[in-house]
Amino acid sequence: MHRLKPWQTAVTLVALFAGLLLVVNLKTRMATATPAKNNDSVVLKIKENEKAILKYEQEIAKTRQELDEFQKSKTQGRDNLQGLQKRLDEARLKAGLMPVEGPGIVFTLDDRNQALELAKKSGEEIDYWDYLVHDSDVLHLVNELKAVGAEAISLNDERIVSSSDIKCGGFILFTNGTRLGAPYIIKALGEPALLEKTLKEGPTYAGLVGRDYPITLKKEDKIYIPAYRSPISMKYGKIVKEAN
Amino acid sequence: MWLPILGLILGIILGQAQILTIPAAYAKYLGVAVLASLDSVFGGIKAVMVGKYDSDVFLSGFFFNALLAFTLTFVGDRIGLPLYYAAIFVFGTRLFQNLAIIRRTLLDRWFPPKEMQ
Repeated sequence: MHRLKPWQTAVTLVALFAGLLLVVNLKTRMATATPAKNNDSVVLKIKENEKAILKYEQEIAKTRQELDEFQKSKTQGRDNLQGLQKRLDEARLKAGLMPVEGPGIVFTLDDRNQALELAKKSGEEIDYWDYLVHDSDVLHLVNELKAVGAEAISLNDERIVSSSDIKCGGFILFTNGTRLGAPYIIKALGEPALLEKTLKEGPTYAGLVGRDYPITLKKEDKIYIPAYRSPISMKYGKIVKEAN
Repeated sequence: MWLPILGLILGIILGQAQILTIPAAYAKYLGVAVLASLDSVFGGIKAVMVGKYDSDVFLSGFFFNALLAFTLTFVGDRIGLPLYYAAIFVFGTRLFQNLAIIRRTLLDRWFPPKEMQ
């Protein structure tokens, strides 16, 4: 009675195998298939749209350049118009429609990735809010730079102009309708020492340091800030004719 | 009699312990393998119950059926035709048949049919 019959060994082994495979299969499916499937088409759509946006941005840049050249060719040789052209260029420079370079600072701010890894390993409950860079942090930094007269600012190579937004997009930020991911690189053109001092002594910087975010701040002799690439819309506004 | 079921449970526990992980791309093969082994288990039990069990037939049947199912899945993937449906169909049908025979044999054993008068 104690000796196993041959069929018992064989059938039991195969049954063990069946159970093992069944569970491994279930686990594999649960881990991978479910969430990815539905997101695929959305991700594809987003990528398509971003490609289209990039194309439009290039078109805008090309059209602006053509317009520029056209204006220049028309004003050449006419003294009165050349003065106007110069003023126009100046206005475009100030509006952020031209790339600029000069001295300034480069500030980088990253999510707390290492701290997040550690927290995950230790198994504590994770609130991603504590580990991500927030739109308000970036917005305040940019605002502080503007307040002391930074002449041009870019966030991850998106030029900050008067209509630029810095908006929360979950794990990312949106600026000028473009998705930006960490690390966030703020470049500001202006007196480097002043800009550095402003950030270092400002409340936002201290808050980020206090919450242990990975940041770097460097003064540079020469930084390049690209031109604004997105469209400018003025649908409702009209020019006011002044009396003089 | 209860050893195979014990084996099944032990297998499930082993699977939970994640001693084996398989890339998602092979999930289809895994599914066919599950069916092939389940088919063999119930086929074996049935054979024992009707007194026709043969070790060689059982083990060779398990390996050859699994191999054939894998081959069908692989070839099907290559030519874009879900050939593994054939394996699912055969294994599935046989599962029902074997379970039906096991059920009848057990019923007969526990509740012997009354003699017709």
